[in-house]
Amino acid sequence: MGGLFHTLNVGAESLYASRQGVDTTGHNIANAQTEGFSRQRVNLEQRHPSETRGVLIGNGVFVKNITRAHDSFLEKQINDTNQNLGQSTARFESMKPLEGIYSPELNNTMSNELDRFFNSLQDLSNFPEELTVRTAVRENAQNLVNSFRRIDSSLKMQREDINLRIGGEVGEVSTLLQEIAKLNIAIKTAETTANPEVSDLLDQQDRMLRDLTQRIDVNYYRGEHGMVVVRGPQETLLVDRGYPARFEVMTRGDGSNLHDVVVLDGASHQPTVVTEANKRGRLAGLIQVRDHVIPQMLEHNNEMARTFADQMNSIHQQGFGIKDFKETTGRNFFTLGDDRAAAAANIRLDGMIEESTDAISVASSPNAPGDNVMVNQMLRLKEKKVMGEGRSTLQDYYASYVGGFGLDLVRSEQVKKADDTLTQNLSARREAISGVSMDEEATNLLKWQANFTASSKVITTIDEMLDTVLQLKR
Amino acid sequence: MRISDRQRYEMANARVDSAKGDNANMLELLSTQKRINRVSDDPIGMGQALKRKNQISNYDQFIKNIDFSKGYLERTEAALQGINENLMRAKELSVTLANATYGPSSREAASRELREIIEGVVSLANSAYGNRYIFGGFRTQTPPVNREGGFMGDDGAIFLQVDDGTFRQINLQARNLFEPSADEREKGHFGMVHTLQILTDSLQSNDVQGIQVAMEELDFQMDKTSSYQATLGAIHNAVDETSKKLELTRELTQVDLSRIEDADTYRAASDFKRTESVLQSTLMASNKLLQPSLMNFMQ
Repeated sequence: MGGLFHTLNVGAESLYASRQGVDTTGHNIANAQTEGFSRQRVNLEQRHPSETRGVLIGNGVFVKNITRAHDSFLEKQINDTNQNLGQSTARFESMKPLEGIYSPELNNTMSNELDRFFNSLQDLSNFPEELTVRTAVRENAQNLVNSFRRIDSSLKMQREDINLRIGGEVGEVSTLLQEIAKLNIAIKTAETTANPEVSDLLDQQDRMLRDLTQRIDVNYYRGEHGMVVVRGPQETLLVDRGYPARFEVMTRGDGSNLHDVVVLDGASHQPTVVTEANKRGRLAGLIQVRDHVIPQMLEHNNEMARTFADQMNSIHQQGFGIKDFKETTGRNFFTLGDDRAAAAANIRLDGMIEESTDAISVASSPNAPGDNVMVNQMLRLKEKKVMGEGRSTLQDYYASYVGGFGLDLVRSEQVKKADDTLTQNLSARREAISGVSMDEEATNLLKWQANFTASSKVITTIDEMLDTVLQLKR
Repeated sequence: MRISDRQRYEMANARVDSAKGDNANMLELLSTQKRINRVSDDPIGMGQALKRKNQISNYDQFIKNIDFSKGYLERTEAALQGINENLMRAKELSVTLANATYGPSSREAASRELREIIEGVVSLANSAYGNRYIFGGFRTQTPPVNREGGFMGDDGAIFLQVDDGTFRQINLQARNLFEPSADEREKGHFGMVHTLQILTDSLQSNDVQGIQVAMEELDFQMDKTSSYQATLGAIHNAVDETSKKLELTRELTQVDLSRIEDADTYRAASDFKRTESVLQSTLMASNKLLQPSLMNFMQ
């Protein structure tokens, strides 16, 4: 075609493209601190040339599209490490409070209480007939019993707390699934052939997916129309187009009040239980601590309480008391209740001893107030390997199970740190690609501004030329 | 590499966090003076520290037991010594008054002194440490020897733990001291108080023959008392030895424990200083780092 109006048009297009450049830069700067934002860039393309008088002349520029700086493979990697990080973080963070129960700086640890109890038995060996010594034995036994129960109830409290967190986590996941499904619809609607990717919506969905992968073990891919398909543990379909699956908790029927995690997707009518199948993400970490770490420690504590009480009782039963109890024998020192599996929760002093310290039976024969034969046998318990099928003493067992927990905690902290570093590196790489750099945007501003000024120069020049042309006809 | 602004802020944050964390850890170390404050600080060290603490508490208790048994043993020794002195006086009297130069009135007077001696012996036999009779075996609440010399106690042996796995008997089974065994009775021996009673009766009834019999019997009783004293001495020595050993082992264990769980004060202090200056320079650097941007230079 050619002609001044053509050139005027080229200038206007250029002006528009430059303004779009400033616009996008402004958008980038505005979102510089937005979580999950990928910087956008204006992709310009030259128009097809047209032939005028045998010459091909350029037709100026047009804004082809605006895309985001994004690496989808890196994104996959981030999501993969995210699942490990979520798991190790949740595991570490829910194990950390448990060590408070066993901290050596607390003076009422099980180990100290055991020591004090045995020391009071030593005093009893020295003065078997003294009321004050007997009272001290009873008080120390009571403290020891309380220690067993304190550890038991503290662990159960932590388990209850983690259980609540699991409920909360499941709620969050459920919301995320709904949001992701909603965005699927929005993406599908906004997407056209001219604009194959809707940067801002994709950014939002990617951010949600990152959030989701921190929490549970999922797989996802982008299917038709850029909509994401999310699969959960055991091949459950969590998000399919606009349909989120229901992700819920179900209270276990065994009276423990603990939650199981279930998925209700469109594919099956039965809820799928994924409590154990979900191996990664925060949820997995929490469930591991709730269902494996804490029950193990509860059992160790139970085992100690049970063995200790049984061993003490078997000696105490042979003994005779003093005063009113000087001719009777066969009494227990501790009672465990009927449920031996819950020994630590139910351990108590025997009712007789609670009533009268005279019932503490350490004499090997009746009518012998100075007899300390049984108490000496009890003292030997301290050094006797009664735990773990005769492998360790009570104190060793305690030290080794708490130490084992400590090692586990240290290990989980190291794993968390490693996952942290890995995720940080990947995030840094992601930021390097997608993040907004103010300096770069400033340069871009200058660039587009200069372009804008130059484009407007083109227009004023054409304007002057038009004036000249119009004056020809005066 | 492109460095985005978010990255710069996050990096600055992470570095300040880590410097602050190190600083806080060092502060804890410095203020508790303990290297192990939590199980996870050193799980293996914690196990070792627990073991040492148990041992120390054991040793303290053993030392306490030994102090008690020493008191008990000393009281027993004193009682035996007293009994021995009484027997010697009785022997002296018997030797003197068996001599024909003394008349019935002197013997009558001596019998009065002997009654006192019997009182003394019985009272010593019923010596108590605290509120427990030391010669009564397990029957610690009733006097073991009555005025007639009958033994009312039992043969209980009181053991106390004085070391890991070591229990030591601290009382004497005193039945044989006061009553003759079946064997001895067959050989014509009497009980201790009975012997003194025979001497008293013989003196009173001016029976020189009787006095001589009692005199010989007294030798036997004194021998028996001495042998009890010797046994007691042996126990006392052994307990003393154990006590010395315990004090030493306790010291060593304490040193061991301190090595395991205590912080090295000088190092902790210098580490604290170091983390403090790291924190300060990180903060300073972050402040400088976050300022420049091309934006600041655009008009």
